[in-house]
Amino acid sequence: MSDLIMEPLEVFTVESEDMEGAAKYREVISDILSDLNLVRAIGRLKVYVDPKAPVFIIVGLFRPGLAKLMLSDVADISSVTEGLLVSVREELYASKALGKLWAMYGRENIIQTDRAAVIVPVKGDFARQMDDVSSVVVYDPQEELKKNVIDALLRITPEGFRVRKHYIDEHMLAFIASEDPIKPEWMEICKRLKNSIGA
Amino acid sequence: MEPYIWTSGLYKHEEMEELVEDLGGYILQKNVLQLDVIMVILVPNADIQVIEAKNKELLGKLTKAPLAGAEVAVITPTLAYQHLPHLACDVAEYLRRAGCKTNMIGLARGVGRRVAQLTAKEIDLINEHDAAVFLYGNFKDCIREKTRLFRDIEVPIVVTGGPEMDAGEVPGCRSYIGGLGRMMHRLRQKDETESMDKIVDAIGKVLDEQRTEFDKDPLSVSPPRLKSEIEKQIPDIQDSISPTPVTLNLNGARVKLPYGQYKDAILNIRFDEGVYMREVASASRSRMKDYILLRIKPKSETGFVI
Repeated sequence: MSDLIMEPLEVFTVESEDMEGAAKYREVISDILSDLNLVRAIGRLKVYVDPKAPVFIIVGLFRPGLAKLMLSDVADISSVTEGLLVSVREELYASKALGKLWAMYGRENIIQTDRAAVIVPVKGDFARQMDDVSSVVVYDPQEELKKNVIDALLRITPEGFRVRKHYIDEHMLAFIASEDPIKPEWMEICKRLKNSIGA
Repeated sequence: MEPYIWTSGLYKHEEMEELVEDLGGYILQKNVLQLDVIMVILVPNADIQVIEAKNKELLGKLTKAPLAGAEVAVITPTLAYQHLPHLACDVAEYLRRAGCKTNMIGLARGVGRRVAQLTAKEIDLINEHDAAVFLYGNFKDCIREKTRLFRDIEVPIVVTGGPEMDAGEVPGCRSYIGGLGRMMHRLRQKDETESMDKIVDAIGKVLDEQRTEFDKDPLSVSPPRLKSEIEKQIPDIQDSISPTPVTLNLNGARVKLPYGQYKDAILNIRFDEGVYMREVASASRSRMKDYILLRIKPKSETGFVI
């Protein structure tokens, strides 16, 4: 489902018995999404609010995002006598890349020749190790997105609704919040909304 | 007396200050911001033209301040980002521009619908003000449900929220203003500023009603007079770093000095008429920090007005 081509926020509804409140809430949500730069990341969003219950439900579909950045995308990797020389070209990812390599090989095994260049010792199969090092993920936009989405959800939900149930993966999100323990019928509503956006 | 806000440059501003005092008016608040001065002044009705002429000479700006001399509490359910900053700060600032002193109060347990409550300290603190503005949310049902927070509040209440409703539908409030509610953007749209104008009008009306009520049994001394005597006779008030060391209420004042240390000095202030402060006002410990809360006694209690 996730490889569907979706426009940013092509579906965006707020459902409630209180129509006036729903319209206001829509405004609040779009303000928050644009504050956190999430408008382009979300394809479909449906919200259900019942102030009498009280419950707040939100389900959404993410748009397919940017690809992950690998170490080979941001660094030159070449073979030297001591092992593999990894020289990070993109300053932005240097610390992240070094951190990942330290975690993989142990800090004492890595020789740092420069601020953004290290030599990784070769152990075992050279070709396999070259692949391993090249495929280290240095930046995952999905992770960043997830963080922002969780932040947005907490900002959108009414503050007093402290009982929460959530589900989030790389394709969709679902979130129920209330003052009282979550009831099964709310889960049903959540499922209905989820099906209606094609998740 | 008529309240005004006078905005001008620092240069020669003391001429205006002296003129107001010479005419028998009062300076309620003076803020110096680098080279600008903003003063809230009370001018005797007969001399408004004199002040207007001086304003013209000094190239300042004179605007009416309908809410001057009052302290208003702007109350949000909490101080978290769900309720702050846009709506609460914009409303508070708008009220300030109408001349009143606003205090923003974020409740400790004001969130939610069923679980919302006020603490005893919050109730006392809100009751020290002249009026309270509650900033509520977008849903009619929740606004109505949360009116039970008003139960112990004695000062007049103005409620704002998203939906358009009648004040009668919101029990316990004097006035309800719709069109605001929970907002995550600055209040710049025309309809939003209009709603804020309505809040100013509503509070103005509520304060006028309070004043009429006090006029039935006049206060023994006027609050601005109280303020000027405190400033003259308690030199330490100059050292208070608060922007308004003596904040006026409709029936008294909040003096921003430690209660234990200054209570007696303030109660022993002597007016020109030979009357002492302790005869015309009572002092108590304010719920705000350790300040002194002065409440002026009515004529029926003291038997005179000075």
